[in-house]
Amino acid sequence: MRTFLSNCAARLALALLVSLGAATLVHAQGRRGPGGPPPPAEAAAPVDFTGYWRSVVQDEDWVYRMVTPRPGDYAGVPLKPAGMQVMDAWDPAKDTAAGEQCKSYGAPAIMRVPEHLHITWQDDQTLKMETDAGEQTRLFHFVPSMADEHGPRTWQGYSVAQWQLQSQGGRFFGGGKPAWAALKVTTTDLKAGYLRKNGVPYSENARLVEYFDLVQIPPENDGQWWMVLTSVVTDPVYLFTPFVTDDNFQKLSSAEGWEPSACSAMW
Amino acid sequence: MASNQSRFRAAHGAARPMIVRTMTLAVALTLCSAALSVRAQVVTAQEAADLSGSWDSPATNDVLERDEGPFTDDFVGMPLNAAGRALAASYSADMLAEPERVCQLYDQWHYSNSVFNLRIWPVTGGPTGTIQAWKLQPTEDNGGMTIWMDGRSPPSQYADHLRGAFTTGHWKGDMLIAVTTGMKRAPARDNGAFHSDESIMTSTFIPHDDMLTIVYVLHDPVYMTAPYVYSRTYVRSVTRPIATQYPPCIVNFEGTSEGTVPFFPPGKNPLMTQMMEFFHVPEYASAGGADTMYPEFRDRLKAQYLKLYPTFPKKCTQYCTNFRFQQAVGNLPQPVEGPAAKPGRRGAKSGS
Amino acid sequence: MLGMLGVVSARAAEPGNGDLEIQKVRQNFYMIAGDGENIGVQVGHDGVVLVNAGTVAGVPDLLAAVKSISPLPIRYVIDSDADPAVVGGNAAVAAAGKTLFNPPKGPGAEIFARANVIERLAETAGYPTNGWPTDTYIYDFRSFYINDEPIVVTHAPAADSDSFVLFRRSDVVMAGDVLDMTRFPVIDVADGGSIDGEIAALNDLLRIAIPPSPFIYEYNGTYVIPAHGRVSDQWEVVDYRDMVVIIRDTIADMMRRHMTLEQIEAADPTKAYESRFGSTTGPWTTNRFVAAVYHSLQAAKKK
Repeated sequence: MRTFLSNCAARLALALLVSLGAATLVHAQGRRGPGGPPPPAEAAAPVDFTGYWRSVVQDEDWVYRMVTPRPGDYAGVPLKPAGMQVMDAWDPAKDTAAGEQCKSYGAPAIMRVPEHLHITWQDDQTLKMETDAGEQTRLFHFVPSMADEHGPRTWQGYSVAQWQLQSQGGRFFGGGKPAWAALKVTTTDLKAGYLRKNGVPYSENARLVEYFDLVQIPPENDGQWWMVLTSVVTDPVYLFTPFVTDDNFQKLSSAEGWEPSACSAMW
Repeated sequence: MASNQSRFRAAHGAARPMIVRTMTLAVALTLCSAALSVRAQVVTAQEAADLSGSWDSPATNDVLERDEGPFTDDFVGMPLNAAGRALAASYSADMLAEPERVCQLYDQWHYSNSVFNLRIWPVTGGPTGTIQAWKLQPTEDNGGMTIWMDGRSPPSQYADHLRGAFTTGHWKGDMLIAVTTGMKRAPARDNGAFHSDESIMTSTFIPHDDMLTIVYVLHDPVYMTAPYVYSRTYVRSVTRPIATQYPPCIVNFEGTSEGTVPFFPPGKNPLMTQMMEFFHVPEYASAGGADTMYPEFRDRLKAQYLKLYPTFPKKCTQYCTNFRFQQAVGNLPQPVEGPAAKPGRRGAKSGS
Repeated sequence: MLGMLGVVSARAAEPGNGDLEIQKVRQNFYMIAGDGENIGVQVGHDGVVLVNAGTVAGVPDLLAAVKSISPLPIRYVIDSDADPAVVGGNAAVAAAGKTLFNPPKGPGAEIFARANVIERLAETAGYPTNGWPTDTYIYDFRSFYINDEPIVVTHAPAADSDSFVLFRRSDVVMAGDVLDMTRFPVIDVADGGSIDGEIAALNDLLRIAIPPSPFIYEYNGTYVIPAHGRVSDQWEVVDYRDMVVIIRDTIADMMRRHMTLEQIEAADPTKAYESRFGSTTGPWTTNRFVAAVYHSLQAAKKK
């Protein structure tokens, strides 16, 4: 009997191995392999955002980004009357005198400023993004720290990042290396600032959700890499619906064109 | 004589290998079918993400252009070459009122700069009901887009460029990449910048949570020097299905007589001043060109623009918002809008 | 007189080659491209009707291509104009065909064209007389009814020998030289052509080529076969017509300002279109087109 059972178990195990051997790629979203901590964000990333990038403004609100928008021009922004009052009171000289010339370089606005970006890994769980315009630094934390997450409000706030992992050709479950990913970043703890340089405001209650995607243009193998950013700003104080925008960045092979410039309340 | 017990043992002894084999086979088959059914769920590349549904266009990007139409000389950020600029400068919107053009549809590129909501749905077929294509249709006015997922070849170079053009697609991760060829010559922007019939358009559909970002890229070897890229985000509509209306189109007289071709001779377009008039953007910027797309171009604009900035009215008087948000805010105080629609809007008369 | 104006015949020969492509247009209608001008092929139980016969060199490949579409004999060759790329193969193609008539009018297929085509061919040194049309028309149009289909051959005012050929049931029109998806229209001043005639012909074509309104999402409308390039429809004819009118009016405006031909060429009146339709080499260059427009406007002014 014992022999019978052990033979049976052995054959059963063999059958199990053979049948499951046909399974291929797996979907690793939120799952870890059996036992052990998840790999660090840098190691887990199937896509590479590091390097130098520059904004490409092909329309996409050119007159609100490449030049300072006209006073009182908030076209496209779902601005409440309270926000219009702030906008109408915009005074760049006053902002500069108060040391607030970086108000239009906060996280909800900085990606819309025509600029160069430099993206690197600060450590294996923190992606760092620097801008030459306004000399700002954003940190995307893949492992949020409770101590830092609700610290003092800053222009760049506190950003929590996660990979939205994807597999080639479908969704799977189990372990294994995913084929592709988007980067989702949620930012809070913002200092009140401007969505546009002409004083269109966001409050400190604003929340920013961003999706960074890598796209090849054209899609063939030698196509150049672009980064496409979808941003959603919600602000119960000044916006009556989410402010959704899209921005494109082109990958550069070097730091050419990198020209740090200080914040300006006027340009 | 063998006992019953020994006969039983003998019978079992003979049957045992067969029983074990059968059981093993049964278990293996069960596990195989379970694994295979999982595999079947995942290998169907067409179903990597579900794009189907109704998608609202929040149109918080380029809203004036997309809702009411671009300014007549607004080619900023467009990588136009000399031919593209010459064509754009000659354009009169009265051309749209030619009787032969009244019922012309917009083409596939217009998805990128129109404000219409979208409906997307799969077309299934074959004995296993696989997705053969994805179909896109905005609310109206477009030639539609069918994205073939079955690997079919494009039509011959001698085939007609149909109103629906020809599009094939494949998945990369959760992104659907669609390539459109065989488009007709049509506006790249609604103020006279055209793309040629040799253009190729790539649309990359990127789902994120309840949003869909579409990256539209136009390559036009005839009128542009670089890819022309628009990204647009749509939000899944939870309240209503988007109606894809197909109203019949009857040719009416819209102000341009048969055989007349409205246009502006070189250097004689009186409408090439709106960008300076309303935004203080000089002609070397509004005429477009690849250099107007990059951050470095701001250095060229800065001095002159800042000098002119104080001449803007302290309170915006025209084109400060768009009608969508005026309606939403209702009776609350609004900035005063300008008296008339901009020239260059579809169907509007322009000086010619 | 035309020689004094520096005008030469625009009807330069186009080489044929063996690379033919057959494009199905309708259930019973095909286009053959790659030998001279595009060739139309209507098939049915009566036999084959060809519009254009291609070049002399291309005849064997053309006949093989037609045979691959239909085994029935060629009954008619209809010439849309007198261009060597259209009539070069007349004699050989007709000889390979068989007339519908019994007793036969002649040994092969009928060759039909506008009467002026005979005049042009008679002036062409070395052109064989058995390639001349066996039947012609001198008024505005002539019609046939072959393969259950009305075929209407209409004079296209772009030049004296030009015709449109409309296959009414198939809803296909052969446009000849009036529409060319690869170059500016050939204005054959020697054949009575003019820019105003070209525009009038394009406007006539727009009355034949019907767009798919009111159900613009469902259909494509009339198919238009150009002299070269892909199968087109009313949309392309409008674009082409508008382009030609704009160029004409731009040159006319420059002439009103007393600019010479050289000055006009330097001002580049075709700038918006030459990257798509222009050429600096070959039998029909941008400059030849501009010169033809200039001279025909001058001639019109003098009338």
